[in-house]
Amino acid sequence: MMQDFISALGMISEWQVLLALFVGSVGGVIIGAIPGIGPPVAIAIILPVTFSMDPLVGLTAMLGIYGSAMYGGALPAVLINTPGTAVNALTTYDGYPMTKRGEARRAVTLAYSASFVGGCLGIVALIFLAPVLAAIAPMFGAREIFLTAFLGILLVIVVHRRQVLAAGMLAGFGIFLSTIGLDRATYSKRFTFDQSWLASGVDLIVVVLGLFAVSQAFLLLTQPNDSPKVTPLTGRMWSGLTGIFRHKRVAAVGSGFGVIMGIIPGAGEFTAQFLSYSYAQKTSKTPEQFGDGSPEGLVASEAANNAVPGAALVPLLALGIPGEALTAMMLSVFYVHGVVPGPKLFENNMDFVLALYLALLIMNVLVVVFLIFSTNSLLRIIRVPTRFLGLAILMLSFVGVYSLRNSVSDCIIAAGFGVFGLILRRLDLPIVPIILGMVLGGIMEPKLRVAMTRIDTPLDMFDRPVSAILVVLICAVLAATVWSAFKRTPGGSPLNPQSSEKPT
Amino acid sequence: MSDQDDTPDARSGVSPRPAAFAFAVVFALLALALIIQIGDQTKWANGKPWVAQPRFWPGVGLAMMLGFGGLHAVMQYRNRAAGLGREIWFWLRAVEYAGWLIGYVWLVPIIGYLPASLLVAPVLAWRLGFRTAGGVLAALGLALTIVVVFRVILRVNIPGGEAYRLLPDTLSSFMLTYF
Repeated sequence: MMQDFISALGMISEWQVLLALFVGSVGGVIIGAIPGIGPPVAIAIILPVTFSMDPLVGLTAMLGIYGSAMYGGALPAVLINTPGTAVNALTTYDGYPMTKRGEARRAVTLAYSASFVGGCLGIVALIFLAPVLAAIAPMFGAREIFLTAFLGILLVIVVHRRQVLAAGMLAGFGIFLSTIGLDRATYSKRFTFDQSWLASGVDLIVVVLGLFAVSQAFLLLTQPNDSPKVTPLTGRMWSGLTGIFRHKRVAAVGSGFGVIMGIIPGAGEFTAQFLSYSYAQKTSKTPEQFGDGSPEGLVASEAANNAVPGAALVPLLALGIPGEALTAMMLSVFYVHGVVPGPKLFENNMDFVLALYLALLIMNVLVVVFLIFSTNSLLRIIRVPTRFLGLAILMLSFVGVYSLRNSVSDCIIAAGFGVFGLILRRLDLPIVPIILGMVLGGIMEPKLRVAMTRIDTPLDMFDRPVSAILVVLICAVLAATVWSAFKRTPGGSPLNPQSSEKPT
Repeated sequence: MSDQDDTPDARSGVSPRPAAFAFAVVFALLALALIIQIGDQTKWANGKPWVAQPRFWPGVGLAMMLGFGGLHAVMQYRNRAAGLGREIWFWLRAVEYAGWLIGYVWLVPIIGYLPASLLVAPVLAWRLGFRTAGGVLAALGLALTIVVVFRVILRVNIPGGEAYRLLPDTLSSFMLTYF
């Protein structure tokens, strides 16, 4: 173990890794602070670029962006009532009222420190839980992996409360996209319509770039220009960071929700922060302040959403199953470099895993230090006109798509998915189920084929302990979803969005 | 960022959205059209169980698209909102920028990555309303920065333009290597 740790230190101290860590962390904060970009757009753009890098360098840059964007996203959420990333939306509820009360510096520093607590606890969970999951991973055969991926699809649908039907429809679309092209088991074409450009299938990276980056560029380019006005912060930033100690219970529980929701495929930051916020409100001595500038509400939201990235790596590293869109993108970096996540990774490349842990820990410290000194400079970046931002994203998207394989077809497909993504964004429909449908659908199909050759009856699918537990979990999720849908709608259709309860 | 209502209610899908019903109907019809094609577009492999058939997983995806999409369309029918034409016009406006992207892609192999970027960025900036010298210079700076970072420093895989071959040998080789 000590040898692995020393080897990991050696890996992390290489200049390319340190540079990737710095650029990823600082870049992530800047990207997060600019409303309208967000980590999925940035990661989608740099994803093809990382394919030519050493795996640790590429993953460090992507993890830097993933883990640090939400720190930056809190800044516009608190100061101008506009979340920098989608998952900072709940931060506006209490952060902005604090700013209006003249407590902007306190709100910003509380958000930073809560994010730091959440980020570090997420990494601690990753360090302790990933090896545990990896230890039981040999018990995961084809049927267990199929059932885990099925559970992931199910969860990504049901967590989109009030949009379950739309999420199911789009997850189905993702599964369908994953099947286009040559079927590798039977070498027969599927839905290619005799078009040569469809024969090799629809590339996940092209779809990701189209749906996240190109669509965001189109949205910014088609909307009226906007350039938010922000008042610089005054006072010492360091002193505000200690305010978190007054809310350590909320920060710890919020991080716990973030860890649990990060590990569960499909659940993610939104569920984590709503659970954390509800808990904080229910247990607060001043629940009436929530939504009106409650520091506890701010801490609950930021601690929960920053604990998710570290925890989301647990199923990715241990089982190779991504829980959401960003880890799905990271999975492709592993595969491109021939690094297969799972128990073998922990057996054969423990130094690599430890180097990732170290990179994440350093990233959290680096980001807080950077924010302490650069918050007022970041406010200038927030003011970049939105249409100019759209131009920048469009040009960067070109690099991402075209550098993949210099294919004009890929660019046309990405542009098509860009328009489709814009429509989804305008209709407020979720994009993530498409990506997870593609990734998990691609895992489920071969695993089910293998599993079916080893069983005699469908009931044999559940005759092993892990598969039986997974089936119980799937049934429990289905039962809970149906129960909550009927509970929400007395006298009405359970799926009618108009009769749904309002968010907390 | 949206010019639409972006309240929590809207985010959760409670607020009616123009064109949501039309989109759901078109999506379900597309799924139906693809399901009808499944016999032609996939093969039946003799001797294989139904879950191992090449058409099984496309069928699962399409069934989800049709089933969930159909129910979604029914729910959206109750929740219709005015403004279909205006919303579709907004979608079509995005097609213009898709054209800009494809035009950019078409230009790069002909005139090269650096010249194409230095051409497209300021012209598009002008089109977007940044018509001051500062706006155009900012667009040129953006284009140059992106090319230097990605092509020169990160060495991403973008081939040199055909036009570079018309340059003197030394310059041509330099441009093909770096830009």
